[in-house]
Amino acid sequence: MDGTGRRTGVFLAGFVLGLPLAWAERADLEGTWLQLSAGRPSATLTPAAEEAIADYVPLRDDPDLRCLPPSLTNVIGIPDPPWELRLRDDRVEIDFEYMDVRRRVPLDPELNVADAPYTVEDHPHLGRSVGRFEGEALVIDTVDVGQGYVDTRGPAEGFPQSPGMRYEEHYRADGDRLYVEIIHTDPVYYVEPFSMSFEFLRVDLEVLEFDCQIDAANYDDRL
Amino acid sequence: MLRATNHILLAGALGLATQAGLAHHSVSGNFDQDARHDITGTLTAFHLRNPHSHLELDVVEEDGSVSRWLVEWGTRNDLIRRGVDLDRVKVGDELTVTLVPSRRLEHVGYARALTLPDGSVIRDCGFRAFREALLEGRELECEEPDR
Repeated sequence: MDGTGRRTGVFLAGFVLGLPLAWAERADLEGTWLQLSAGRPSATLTPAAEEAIADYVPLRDDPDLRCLPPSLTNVIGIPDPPWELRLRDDRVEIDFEYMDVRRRVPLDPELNVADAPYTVEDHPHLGRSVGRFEGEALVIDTVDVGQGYVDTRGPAEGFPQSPGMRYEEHYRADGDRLYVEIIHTDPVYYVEPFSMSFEFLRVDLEVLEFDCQIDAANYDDRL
Repeated sequence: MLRATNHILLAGALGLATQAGLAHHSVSGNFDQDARHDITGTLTAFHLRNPHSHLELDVVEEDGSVSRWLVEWGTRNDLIRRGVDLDRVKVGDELTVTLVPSRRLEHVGYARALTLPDGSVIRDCGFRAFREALLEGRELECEEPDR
């Protein structure tokens, strides 16, 4: 079913069942998504960030060479592989093909994000998340991330993050498009919060197993 | 608040740069896109895997010495999803690999095209062409790789 038909179906179901319209619009978030475009971040760096970026060597430092997803922004923003979002009564499930990241985010207004479970059970360095809805938009807060990198490619390549980084993700669907904005707050490395934005296309693609293998033919002996 | 957020998102989507040519670590950052050249050698290993595929080639230099080249390629999933004919890439064959070289490392590059012993060429059309084909609802085709 195309996006318009799907949206109409969800709307009619919501109408017949007496569900609030916001719920039908929220359901548009569900689906498999592929990146269409990515915004260029405008961040004001602290001296510590400038030093860290200058020291970053991709073929040595990129965590994905060790099969570790660098950050939530990196996983969401990687252009090639699709990912799937599903809404459940009490949580959001987001399955990324990249690095087989399986994210489970509780939707619990009473839950303090610092007490939330790890957003990806087997990758604690991606932090703890809790989600909520603001109208039809899904908002996810994340804290308790590991020291590392916001991104390892594109205009934010080598941007560092401290354990004090706070992520605030906003997801809003419009038919066959999904708009995601991620606001990063980390006073250690950034003078003020900065955002990165992405547009996604609803696609009919399978989220494949990634089965990351640490590069047998790595670059260590050439660095 | 929501309306303001929407404006920010639209600005990001419409007016800003895309990352269509970028992979896990940055291909454009690691490899010199303006220095495309060919190497010819014997394929000694082909690692089809995620997050990076690799080709290893022994290349005979002009002085008779042999250099071992390490050539990165797309992820296994991307190459399969984009229909690259991987079964035709055989260890032991002599290949000509069109690549962009590493900005930092000797004898390291990123593959753009593979010319097989029979003269046929294998390319990964790249993410941009794949995405455009999806948007336009047509088959993926490429004359020149874009990543």
